[in-house]
Amino acid sequence: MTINDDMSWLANSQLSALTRRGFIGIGSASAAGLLLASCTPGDGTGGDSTGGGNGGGTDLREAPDLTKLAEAGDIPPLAERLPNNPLVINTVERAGVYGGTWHTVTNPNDTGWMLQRVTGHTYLVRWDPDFNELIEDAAEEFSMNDDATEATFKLREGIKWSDGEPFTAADVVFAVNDIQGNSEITPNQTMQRVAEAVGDYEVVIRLNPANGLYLQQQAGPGRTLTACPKHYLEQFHKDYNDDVEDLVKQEGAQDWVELIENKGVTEAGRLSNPDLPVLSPWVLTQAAGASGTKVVFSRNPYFWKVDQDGRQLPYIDQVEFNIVGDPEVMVTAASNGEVDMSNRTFNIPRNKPVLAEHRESGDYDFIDMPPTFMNTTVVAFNQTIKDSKRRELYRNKDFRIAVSHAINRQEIIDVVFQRQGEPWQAAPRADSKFYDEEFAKQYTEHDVALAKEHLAKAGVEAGEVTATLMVSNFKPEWVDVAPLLVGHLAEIGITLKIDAVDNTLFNERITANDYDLAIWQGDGGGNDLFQDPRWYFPFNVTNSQFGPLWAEWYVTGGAQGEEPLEPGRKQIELYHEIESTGDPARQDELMKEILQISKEQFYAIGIHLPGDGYGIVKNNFHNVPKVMIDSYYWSGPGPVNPEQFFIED
Amino acid sequence: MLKYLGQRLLYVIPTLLMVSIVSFAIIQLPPGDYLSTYVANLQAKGEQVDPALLESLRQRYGLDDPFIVQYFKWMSGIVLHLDFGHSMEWSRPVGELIAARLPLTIAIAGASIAIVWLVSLPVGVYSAVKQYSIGDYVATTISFLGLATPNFLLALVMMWFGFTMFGLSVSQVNAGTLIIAMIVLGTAGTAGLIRTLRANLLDELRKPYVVAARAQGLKESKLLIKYPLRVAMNPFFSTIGWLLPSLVGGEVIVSTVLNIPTTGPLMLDALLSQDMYLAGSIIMILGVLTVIGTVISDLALAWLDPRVRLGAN
Repeated sequence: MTINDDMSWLANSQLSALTRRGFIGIGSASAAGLLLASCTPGDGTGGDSTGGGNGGGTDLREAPDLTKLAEAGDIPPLAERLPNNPLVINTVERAGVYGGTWHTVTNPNDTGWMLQRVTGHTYLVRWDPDFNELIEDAAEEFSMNDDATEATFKLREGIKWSDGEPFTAADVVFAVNDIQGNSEITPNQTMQRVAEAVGDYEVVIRLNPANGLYLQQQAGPGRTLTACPKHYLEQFHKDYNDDVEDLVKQEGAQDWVELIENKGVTEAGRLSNPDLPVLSPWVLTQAAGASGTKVVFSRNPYFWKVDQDGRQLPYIDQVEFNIVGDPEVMVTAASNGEVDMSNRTFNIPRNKPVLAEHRESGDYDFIDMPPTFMNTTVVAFNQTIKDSKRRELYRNKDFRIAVSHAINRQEIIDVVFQRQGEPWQAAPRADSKFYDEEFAKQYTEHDVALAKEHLAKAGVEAGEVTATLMVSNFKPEWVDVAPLLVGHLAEIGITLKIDAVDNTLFNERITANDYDLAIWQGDGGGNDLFQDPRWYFPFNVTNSQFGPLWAEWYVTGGAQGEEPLEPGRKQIELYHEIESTGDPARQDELMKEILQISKEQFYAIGIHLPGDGYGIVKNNFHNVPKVMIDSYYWSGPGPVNPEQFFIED
Repeated sequence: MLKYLGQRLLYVIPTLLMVSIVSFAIIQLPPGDYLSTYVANLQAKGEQVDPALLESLRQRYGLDDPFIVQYFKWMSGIVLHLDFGHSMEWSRPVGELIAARLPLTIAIAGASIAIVWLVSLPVGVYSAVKQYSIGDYVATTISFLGLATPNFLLALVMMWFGFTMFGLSVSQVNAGTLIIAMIVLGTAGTAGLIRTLRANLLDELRKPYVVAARAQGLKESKLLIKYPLRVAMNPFFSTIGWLLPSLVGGEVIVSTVLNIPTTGPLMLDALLSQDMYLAGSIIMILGVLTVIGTVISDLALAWLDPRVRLGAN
């Protein structure tokens, strides 16, 4: 009926998309593909649609259910639901068909990722599929001023919330000023942000203190600037509704803050309120509720992204998370072919053989997931330990070099890690733009003689040092690594005692600065290290385990803890400088300087770079890339666009 | 009898008080609290939590309050308006969470208890009366096997069997998993009760009064049912005490393995994540039901067995 209208709209939108600077950001590799696709929309899809009518082919412009709803007048026609300039998403393999339910599983106490990674990964800006740069999302254009005090977002015109109301600058202003900026909802107001709308589609956010990483942070999980529909939430807000107390009573909440949180300000709220309008591809339609067996998300009829042929996304009708408590049951369900696609919870190395065995009967295959971790095990001597003699020893770089050379990394990799990965220091990964081979490989060769030499340089005699290695029970592998380390260090005359503790106690003792040395994993190895540089300088009290007091000094702005040594102070200055510049190239330079100092300081001893993780994808589930990064800050599969996944036998 | 009743009921009050304190204390024993566990879980996956968010949650949940303050807040809620507090993990009222799982929990437990009684009573009596017969040996072997096999293992094996042979779906609740649950729970209970009933009945059958009754020509079936069986039934009544909590508690491991949403997995998760009001409330409800159940079974025993009544005096 409206094929002609639709086609002309398509041509317009794609031409305008092509001329936009933001479109370049969609991904350099896919740019050429988009160019081709958009040159031939009339030929490709037009030809199909005239001869079409098969109900489920790739010629449909929207899901058949939505066409019916639009024909019945329940929702406006497609052209009115989409923005003038919808975001074009290039499919990974090919254009998909509409329909189907994506079945997957999750753990009852691990539910936030459903939104963060799958159904709600819709922000103002997002990471590209390679985790290298920020690209447009709900904001067509974005920028940061030079001293990182003003972020500007230009929103895509005509985006609508899932209830059909327009998404405008007012929504972002509401999120920044009335949710983040409200001291009752957000008691901690050390980060002051004030947003101001410039017309309907432009927002300027002023940051105090400056924050050069603000744009990056908007692409990460838990960011709510695109999750606060003002027209809906204002009724629960004290500043907007004088009669809010009536609603509080009616809903049985303690106060208005709890009410608005439950309605959609917290993650738990967003996961429990199906009435909350969203911008994401799927809308919550069945919350876990009190019975907690299943969470279902259904297609958002107003979703504002289209594939390269201008067909509205998402392809898949519903995403269904079955809540499964027992990890073994998850593996059984996956082997049974009951999980269409998952890159979470049960995809641990231990389960891989079982899952591999059932690939055929379960009709699925693996995808590779290189993590952004740079180490499975980082050994950190506590350089701010109370005992002054030990402190002096642990701060001696030669001592740490001696320990590093004494460790037989290959043995640990062979015995504990199924021969996956390679010896590696606590240094950026090879696939990171901050990779430095020298940093990654320094002191990693197993050489007992060399180790003894360094030990002598440090003025330590054999048998003189006894230390306690604190091991958390969190990763079962560590309990296996620890005895091997004991053996390795015994060869150079250092006696290690193992103290295996519960993870909570582990964290408490780190915070209390009450341990000799500890092992933990190496976070921040990929391009997430801007946001998580814990192993490169004293950044985080519980996680920079080589110097918790130094980190406390940094975190509290010098109020508590202990001032780091000169190199550490320099690094903290450099990081502050990163935070106060809006220029990504300059930030990279500064980060390289920080890493240079980390390399020289050799704060902690890395053991090995982990091998790739894996996810599973059913054979009839398409458009999932064969390789996908595994990172919290990147939040896969979000950046590879779950809305373009589709199911076809 | 009245004195006996009064005494029993009087003991209930301090016991319940102790139960509530202990169940709340148990939750607080491990180091850390809900938020620290939550943070640790996220960190293990390489994830971070905004410290500002943590601070506001900590204030909201009152996690920094002293034990006694937290206990009184919780207890007064329960006593005054039957409000068991708020689950931090689910961000829902605890009462609502438990209520949502009760029907299925009671149905499964009730059905499995019915299976246990229906099977174990006749089999137990048969085993005792026909001691050392082939039937007895078969029943004994099966019941020893049933006793010795851990429930969760049987559940896993049956589930594996169900899904390889019949394509049973394991990621959500369905008739198949419910049937498996009842069979597994039934088997375990039946095995134990058969053994107890058989042993008790055998003891009775050898007593002089049985011989005397038989010598006087009482019909065998009437003799059996009227006297020795009545005495041997004691274990059925004394298990009522455990019955109430098991109706509500949900078999933790079996339910978790079979992924059935009873109160069992709810409690397990709550304990693991240190969701203290939820875990504490479930533990307390179970404790209270055990106490009430014990009182009921004491009374039932007293009614059934004059020796218990007289012993009390």
